[in-house]
Amino acid sequence: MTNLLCPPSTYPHHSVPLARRYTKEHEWVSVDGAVGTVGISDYAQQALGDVVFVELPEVGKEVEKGSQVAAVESVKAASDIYAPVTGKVVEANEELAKNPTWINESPYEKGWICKIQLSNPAEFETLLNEESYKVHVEESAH
Amino acid sequence: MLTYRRKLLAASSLHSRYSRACVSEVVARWTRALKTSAAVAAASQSSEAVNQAFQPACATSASPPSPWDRLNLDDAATRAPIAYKYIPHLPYHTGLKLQEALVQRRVAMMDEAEKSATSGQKDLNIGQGPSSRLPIDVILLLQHDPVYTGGRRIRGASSASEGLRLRELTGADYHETLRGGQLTYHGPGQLVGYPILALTTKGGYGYSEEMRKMGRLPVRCYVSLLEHMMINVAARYGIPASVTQNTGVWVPGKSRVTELKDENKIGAIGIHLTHNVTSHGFALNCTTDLSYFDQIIACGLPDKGATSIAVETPIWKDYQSLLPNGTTPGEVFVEAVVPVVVDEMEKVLARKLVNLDASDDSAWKTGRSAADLESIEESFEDIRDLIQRTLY
Repeated sequence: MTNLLCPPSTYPHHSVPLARRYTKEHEWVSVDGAVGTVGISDYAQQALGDVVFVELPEVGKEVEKGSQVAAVESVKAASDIYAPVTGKVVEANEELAKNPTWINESPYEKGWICKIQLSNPAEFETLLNEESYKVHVEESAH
Repeated sequence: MLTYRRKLLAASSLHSRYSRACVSEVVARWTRALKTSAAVAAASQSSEAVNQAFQPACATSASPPSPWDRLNLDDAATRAPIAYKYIPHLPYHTGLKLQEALVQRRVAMMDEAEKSATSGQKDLNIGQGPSSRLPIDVILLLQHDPVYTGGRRIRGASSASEGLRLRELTGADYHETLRGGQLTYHGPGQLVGYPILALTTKGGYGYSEEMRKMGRLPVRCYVSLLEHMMINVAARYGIPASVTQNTGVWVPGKSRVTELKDENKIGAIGIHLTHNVTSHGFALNCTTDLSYFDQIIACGLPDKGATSIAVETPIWKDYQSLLPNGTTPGEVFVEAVVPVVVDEMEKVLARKLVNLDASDDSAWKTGRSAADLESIEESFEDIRDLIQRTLY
């Protein structure tokens, strides 16, 4: 249900039902059951500029929290993306590989990168919530 | 983002106008400088003397407006200097190893700064104990042996067969890399720069107030900063380079290869970011053998060509005539460009660059406390050790 006055890219909380948690390096994860969906934040996509390529992880790959899981390329710069939680990659957003600009247009919805089966669900709670992430972004911006 | 790009384009077209107007003036200044210095150089017959005499004047009056103008170099003494080292001849794989070691060191220092911040220690810059050296950034400047490299996007089977084809055709090596961008060439006569910089204020001691306000230097701004550095270097040689919708630094003109090409690339960019620390960087064609570019579609742009300082200015021929026989002037000329790049890099980053092989030079020391100087020297020593260990 897209509110035309509040497009999702500007007011993402209007259309995202699940709570997101963030890392200090600007990845986000939202958890449904024991599966976390992972992407990069609106702040991160702005800092990167136009994304031209997304390197997805292989399904089945075991990742540790903080280890490199994907990469995005913008204006000749490839940036490593780190797993916000430990677990196994169960799905990669193949559509995103074909439409890398979704990272910019819709970082919290169409721009999701992969899904990770959490091996330690308690990790999710240790990540920054919406408010503390906002503070983190503001702190680094002042 | 679009607005940002448009702003840059506007700045660059302004820049081209400036540059064209000042080309003749710069060349005249060059020729004057050459006449007086040629005698000195001829007397000593050494490439060092020629290089020293061959420094283009600062293009102050013709300086184009750049997004980085608001950074004030006068304040650079209050910020951490950046260590740099020039390596005249570096095999590509050694370069990768060296960058990896330097990136690891820089990331570890950021982690430390983070820890001391969370433990309530207010000053991120100078901690206590041997492990809390000043987190000094490093820039490697170098020339590679002939090598083609593929960016992150084109890794895989097709890239491997392309590598094989190029090796057979040209004898040059081929490497896959984790940087942004697609296919390019490095070789003698090209000045390559690998800045290992933390693009964040977290442990990124030394950034200006303006950069602190930005929180960190966003990746896209870093790329644009490198572009502007190379445009300014080209301007010092009277070359009207600019940015276009394609990343990199371009010079208008017909290509050597096909009449269709209306702009040629003089400077290329490809970056890799690991935990906000940069590696890889820029490549500026000085006297590069451009025929290597004829074998590839550089950067995925089939209708664009490559150019170099040597192709764009008559100055190169004068330079050649000054050197004694038996030297390799193409590579030696790059050494004359190094100080120009260092100078322009200092301006866009608003930080002092200190040559690791000549850090006794006192120019960068003014305005710093004895404690800071000691800490910086210790960091330099660490970096020197690390480079030595990796190189030999």
